Amino acid sequence: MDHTAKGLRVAAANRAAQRNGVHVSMAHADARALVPNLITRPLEARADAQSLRRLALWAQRYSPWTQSDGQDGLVIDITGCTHLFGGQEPLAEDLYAHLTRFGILARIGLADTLAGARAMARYANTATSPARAIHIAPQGQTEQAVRPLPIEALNADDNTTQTLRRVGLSTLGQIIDTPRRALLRRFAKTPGAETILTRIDALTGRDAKPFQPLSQPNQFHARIAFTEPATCSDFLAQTLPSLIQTVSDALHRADSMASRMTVQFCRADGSISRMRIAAASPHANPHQWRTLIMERWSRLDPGFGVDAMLVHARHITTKPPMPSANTPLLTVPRMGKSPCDIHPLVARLAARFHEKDILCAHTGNSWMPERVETLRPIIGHPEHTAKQSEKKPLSHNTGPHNTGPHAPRPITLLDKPEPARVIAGLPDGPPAQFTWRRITHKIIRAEGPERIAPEWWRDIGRPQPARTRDYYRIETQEGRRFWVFREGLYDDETDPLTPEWRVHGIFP
Amino acid sequence: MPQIPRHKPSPPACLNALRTTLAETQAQHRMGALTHSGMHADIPSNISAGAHFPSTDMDKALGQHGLSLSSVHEVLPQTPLDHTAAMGFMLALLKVLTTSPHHPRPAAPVMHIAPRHATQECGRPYGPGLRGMGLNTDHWVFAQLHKPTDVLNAAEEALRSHAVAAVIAHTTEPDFTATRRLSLAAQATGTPIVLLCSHRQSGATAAQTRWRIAPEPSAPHIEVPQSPGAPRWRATLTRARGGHPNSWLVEYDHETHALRLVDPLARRSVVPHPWKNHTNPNAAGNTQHPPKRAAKRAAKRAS
Repeated sequence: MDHTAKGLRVAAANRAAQRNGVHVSMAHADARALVPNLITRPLEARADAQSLRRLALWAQRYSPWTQSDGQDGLVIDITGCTHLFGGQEPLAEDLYAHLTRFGILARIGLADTLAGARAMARYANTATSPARAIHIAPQGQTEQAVRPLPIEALNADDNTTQTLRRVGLSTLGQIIDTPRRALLRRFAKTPGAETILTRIDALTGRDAKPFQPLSQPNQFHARIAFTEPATCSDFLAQTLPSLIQTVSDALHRADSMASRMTVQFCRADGSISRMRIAAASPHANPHQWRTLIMERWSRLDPGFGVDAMLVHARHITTKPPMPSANTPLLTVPRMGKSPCDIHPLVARLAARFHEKDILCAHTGNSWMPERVETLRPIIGHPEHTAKQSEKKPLSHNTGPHNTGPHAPRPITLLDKPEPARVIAGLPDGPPAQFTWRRITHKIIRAEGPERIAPEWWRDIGRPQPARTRDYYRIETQEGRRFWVFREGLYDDETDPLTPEWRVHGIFP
Repeated sequence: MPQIPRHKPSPPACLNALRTTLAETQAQHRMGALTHSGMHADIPSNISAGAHFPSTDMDKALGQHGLSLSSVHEVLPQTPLDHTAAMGFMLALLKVLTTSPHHPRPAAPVMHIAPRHATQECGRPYGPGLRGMGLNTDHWVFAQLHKPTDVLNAAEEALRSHAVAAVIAHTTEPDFTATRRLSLAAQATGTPIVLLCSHRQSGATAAQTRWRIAPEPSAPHIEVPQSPGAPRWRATLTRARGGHPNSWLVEYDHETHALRLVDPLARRSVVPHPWKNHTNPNAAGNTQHPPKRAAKRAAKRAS
């Protein structure tokens, strides 16, 4: 939905909506009347434009010259690139397949000229077979292909189009057949005459408009090609530092830092062996990158020989500005020593083992014990770097999750609370004996119950609602201390299931 | 061709030259001029300085320098079920080590390394519980790895990084070679490492101290007699380099966040049953009549 001068209007509709009769620039009220359960979202023009631009950058896998066209189109100049994909038709089909996989509904038009291709893509449906999504004008026959299209394909403004229709011209073929002088004479007074002719010329190819390709964002990559395919891994490792130095220099010149890097082997048999490295925090230090890449060097396979090696820095962020003499320092070194940097260690360990294995504690916005604090991977969560710079003093009663200093918590928590057989007094007496993991423990002390009610807003849509938990802190005869809970209440009529006991954590 | 005079120094002069070179290199290494990353190497000037327990009784058994800040310490549970009790004692030990005034990086994060099966068996470390023991886990780094050798590798890597305050590693049965490597890494950077081993660990290792922990029933809670009190363990120092083995009954105080020795006689207070609501005249502190003797006396009186 878009807020226009005429009120809330439909800006775009998907196929299901169109089938039900909702079309573009229909009023919101009308659309709702047609389809009562219509899902609408406000139009975000900037975000849409950005994602279209990203798509144009992605489309550079077909050709280096791409550009976004209007608000819902892409233009790709594939002159000289078709042989890489085996021809025009396979290229168009590959593009269509990719876009469908992204979930984007597309119509593709191919022609000799830019305007012709645009016309084919947008309007060829109505003229020729409507079922096909790819319309290709054979080489040199753009004019013939463009003829059956309606005059809206000219992309002229509304007044001109209306005038043309009133005059009786409804397809592009008719306009092309009309002598140019007649058009000029008829439309001399209106401002649209010149443009009609220039547009026709652009369509037929007599006067091609220059194409402005999308300017690439600053790419930080370095490439080295070998005269003979290189098979020795050590030799490739020796050429790596110079590539990394080139990339680092480029990053320094642009005042940026990268947090991910890709090393790619373009092999002699046409395949590509790729390795991705992530750092815990963005930096441009070539030594650190080299250490990280060497950790995973064995995963790159030279195969039958490497023709070229490419190092590419991604996830670029600009460096924060250096503090001037007037601004106070943001991070104060602790106790006279330099602040410790744990990020190189984290990055090294993540490169050696796996990014998902190196975790940090993350406080959740919930009072259920398993969600109060969870462990999450450090790489991929920039909050850890923020926490390093500002450390608040530790206080016991901070945050909504803290139940207070009188509610002790276990030092280890089981990921899934394990069921236990418990003998306890009804309806909410403390347990007297419990059997867990096939060992029976006799309980001599218990504290509780601490009632933790479920978060009802998480239950929406679930078949079984979560149940209230009564937590007990218990101590056995041998001196072992556990944190158990009973799930469900005995007096509850709304709960059809019997209460169950589970062990959730262990105290020291 | 000019004759190059052959100048062979006598063997003692060679040895002296070698000795001076070695001494210089060692001094340089200690001063930290040889760190390749160019970071400020903060090795403590006195490598033998250590951390001390608050209770002098335990401290005396450790030897002259207390708990060394640049070596390996091992904590073992008595049985496989006491893993978390051993972990609790280990956290108390960690608190002693990181709050020592000689520690080079007290504010640095702590690295906790565990294999996945340990997490499945005993559970993951839980922040709110650790906070209750006086340790803030906001900036800790946790590693959950697959193989035991990975755990030792990661521990060595973390020790050599100059970026952690201490390393906790869950291992199974590390042998002398593995602990020697860890010990060398710890000495190089002045970072302590505590290993949580399995109960079957035996034999000589390069650890400075080895503790065996067994759980003990706690004293009744100060306010509510039926609640479990402060965690209590029987800590046995089985091996101590430079000290002598001993065994203590210790309790962790939640207010001072420190270990405290418990009088063994105080253990024999009557434990109330949670179901029977009789008030207990023999509350904590009253150690006059142990329950066995009272029961015997009652039986005698009855007969």
